[in-house]
Amino acid sequence: MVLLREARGRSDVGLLDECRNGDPSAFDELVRRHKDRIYNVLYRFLGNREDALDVSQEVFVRAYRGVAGFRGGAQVYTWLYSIAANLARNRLRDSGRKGRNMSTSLEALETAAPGVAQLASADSADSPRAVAEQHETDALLQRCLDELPDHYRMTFVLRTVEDLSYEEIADVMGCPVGTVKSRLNQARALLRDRLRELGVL
Amino acid sequence: MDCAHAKEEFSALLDGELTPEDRAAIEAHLAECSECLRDLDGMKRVDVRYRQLAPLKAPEGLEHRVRAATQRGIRIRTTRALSPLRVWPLLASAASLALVIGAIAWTLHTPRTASFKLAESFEKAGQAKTAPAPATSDLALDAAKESGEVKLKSARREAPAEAAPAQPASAAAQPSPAAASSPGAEAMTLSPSKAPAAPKEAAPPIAIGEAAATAGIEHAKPKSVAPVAHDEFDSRGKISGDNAARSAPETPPPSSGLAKESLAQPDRASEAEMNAPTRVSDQPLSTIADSIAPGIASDKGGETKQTQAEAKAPLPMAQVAPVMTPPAAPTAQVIARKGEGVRSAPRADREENAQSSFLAGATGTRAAPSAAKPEAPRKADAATEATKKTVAGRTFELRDGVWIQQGYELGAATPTKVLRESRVLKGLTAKYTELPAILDLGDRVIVRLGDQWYRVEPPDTKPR
Repeated sequence: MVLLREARGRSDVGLLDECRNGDPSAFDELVRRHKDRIYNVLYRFLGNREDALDVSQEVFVRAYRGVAGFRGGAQVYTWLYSIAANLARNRLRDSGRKGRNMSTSLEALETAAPGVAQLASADSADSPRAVAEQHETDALLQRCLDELPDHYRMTFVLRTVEDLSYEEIADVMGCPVGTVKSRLNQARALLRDRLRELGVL
Repeated sequence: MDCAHAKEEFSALLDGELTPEDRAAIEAHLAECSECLRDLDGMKRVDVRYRQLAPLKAPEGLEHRVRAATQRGIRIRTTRALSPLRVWPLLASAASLALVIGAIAWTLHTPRTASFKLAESFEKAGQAKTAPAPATSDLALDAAKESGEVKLKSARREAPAEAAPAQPASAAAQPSPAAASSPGAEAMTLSPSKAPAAPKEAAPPIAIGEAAATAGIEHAKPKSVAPVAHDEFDSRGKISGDNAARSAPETPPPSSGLAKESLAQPDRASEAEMNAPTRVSDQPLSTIADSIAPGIASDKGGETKQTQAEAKAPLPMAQVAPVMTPPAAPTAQVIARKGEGVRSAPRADREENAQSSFLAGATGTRAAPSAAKPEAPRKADAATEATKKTVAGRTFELRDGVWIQQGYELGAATPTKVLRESRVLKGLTAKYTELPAILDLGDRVIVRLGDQWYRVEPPDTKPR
């Protein structure tokens, strides 16, 4: 436990160094730091909780095994995102389940996103009706996201949901910044048109 | 600037990624194009909408799953793209080397005809070993390799002293205890009170040897993570000391449990193979040859290997013997390491099937036992290992003599204690039809029934 406490004060890169030096608790701390953002981005990309959890686990297991391969100049979280992006694409490709998340019912999405429910219910001023409507809107937003082409979706999630810079996204996706820019523009335009159709905007 | 050009830059404009010149040009266009202005506004709303989505928190189990998958060096099957190529050849070569040395030692100490045939069998087994198999982790590999090397050395050293005809296999069995005394294993010396009784008078040589063989295997495996395991369990006050190292935290969710077991198989299987030849002491040679041959044929690695091995097993597949067995029946335990056919075997079959499990183990080229000197209780002490079984769709792991259902977290919930033969347990058994099969796992079981955790204990024991 002492080791864990010490780990909290260290930088991500420092933790990776510790991990390389044989301190597994350092990696535990890295997982703690980044698990939510990795899970969140994977959930938004994959559209369901089970896959997001599975792939999140894969991401960290991969990272653990690839600690030695981490490039010193990069941010640890962009490194993790890039692992996540690759594994998530593989997941979609291998399972052929692209249709699965798109066909997700609103109801299923609501139950699959308990975080949303908790957040909404935490605000006691919200009426149950308002909460239900919020759920519905969130599910709708996720469905529209699911409809985007994979690359657009990942780019958009990294930018808008995770707030990464263009350079960081380019790093994660392994593409030029110009590509990030055009994909983002396309993704936003598609979402805008779709949400307008659905009357959400 | 025309509309098409302007629309290409909207996103960058929103993100502040434009140069001042480009920005000025677009703003000039927007001042006179209401359609573009409307589109840009729509994009802005898109971002606002998605930024409002509540960030999700990772489920509680994620950390635990990651820890289980990394610290014990076991890969979890949810990963599709993991490559086993890196580790397998090393593992295979370590195992093959051990087999060859074992065969040589064996040849020196067996009656002529027997040793010839056996050596031949071992060679076949060695060839089979080189078949590809699913991934094992680096940690597991290292452990297996080290273990193999230690065994080789000690096989050389101890062989000459073990020529007694009554125990022709003991030369090869010796390495296991030696492995247990290697530096890594020393750090994990087990609490004697929890170890099975030393094999003495009644136990057949087969069982004794197996216990010893398992000792070596078990010690080699988790040592690289021992310090973490210590820390983890100590802090929860449930399992402490050296036993904690052995039962390192690993409670993956059911979805990945099966796959993980099968992935964990190869390293164990290979280690068992190192000792396989030693098991034959009490068997007619023809039986041995028969039992080894199907294993070779089916040795394609991983799950396939297991399944085929079972299909070809001449006798029913038996069991995973709990290593930390209660004193009642400690010596006859056969450590048939996990496997499909192994998981559902009821406990009552265990002792009865000791013989058949040997054959099954040899057939699958895994879980092979060896004979050891009976006067070495310490070696048997070390025959402790975490074992897994799946019963009624649930996976249980043997830790510290208790079969614990996966998903149970030490310290997270206090299970309701239920004594065997008690009325409460009878009531539960009536309600949950799967319970009897689960209770067959062993004397002590932690199981989830409904939304409650229960700890089933023998009636005459104190809580451990």
